Amino acid sequence: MREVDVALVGLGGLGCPAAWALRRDVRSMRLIDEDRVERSNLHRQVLFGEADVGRLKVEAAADALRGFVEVEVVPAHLAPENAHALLRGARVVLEGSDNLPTKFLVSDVTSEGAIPVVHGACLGWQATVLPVIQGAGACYRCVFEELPEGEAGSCVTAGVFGPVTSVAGAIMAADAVRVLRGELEVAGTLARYDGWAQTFRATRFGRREGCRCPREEPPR
Amino acid sequence: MKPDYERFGRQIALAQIGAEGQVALAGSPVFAPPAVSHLARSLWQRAGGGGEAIECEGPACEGDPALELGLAAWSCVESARRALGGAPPATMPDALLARLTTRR
Repeated sequence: MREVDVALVGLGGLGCPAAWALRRDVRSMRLIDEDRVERSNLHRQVLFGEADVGRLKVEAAADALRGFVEVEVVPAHLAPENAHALLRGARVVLEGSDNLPTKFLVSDVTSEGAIPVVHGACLGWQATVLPVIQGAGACYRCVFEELPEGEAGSCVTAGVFGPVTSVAGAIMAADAVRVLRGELEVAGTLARYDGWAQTFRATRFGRREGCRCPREEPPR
Repeated sequence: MKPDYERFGRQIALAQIGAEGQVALAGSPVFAPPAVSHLARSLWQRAGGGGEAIECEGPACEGDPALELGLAAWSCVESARRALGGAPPATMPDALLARLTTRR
């Protein structure tokens, strides 16, 4: 894999708006997703239209982004056997996957590779965003610790209001811009947005004692 | 009028929306600041909202793509709350505005 400014894991309700918001701030993106566009995606996945239904998401997204940025498409599922290779060379990873195993996998691989990552999640009217810079504040495991047993809620069953995902994707994009500029202040600061209550809270977490993430300060 | 369950099923699943709420969104405008009214209208229609955009006051955001998108999407959420009979009108929290702003 060559070097890219941003690698996006998941081109769903978070990855699509994040990519759109970043298109004028970065030179290159790697898009990683194995899925095809479905009609049920269209209310929140802003890079796709009716004509894209049935196409690979990475191909349809690339068509929407070319002309703004260089795009590398990876129509694959991120898994333990390919994650290191697929994330290598990225200056920052945007993780907008819809399942917890992938979130923890991205956390572990970026931690090992010292790659900054912005995690996003969305359900119902609520969204969270956590930017992680190794050695500068909490990592994903510092905050969420271990993969929980059993099924977690998903927007398939619990529902999601489309524009809430775009608020979250925009926060992810803004955080990625800060990370690329080397601004460390946002690292480990969990953003929580509740659209129905129209509240926003940002809480800075420090490294959790016992977490496997790096202790040392990042290079300046 | 029946909503498009295939396209909007994940919104209809929300207790605050349901099938009736999705129909209510289709008959409602989006309220958005002038700088993002076009983008907000696009996001609103994507979520099944009506085609009209009504301009209202809001922060300046020109030339800041993340803030433009965030403000447009926030305006859609706020417009949905109004259409669905939710809480009184809100303004974007300062902390959210700061988090979305990347241009110095």
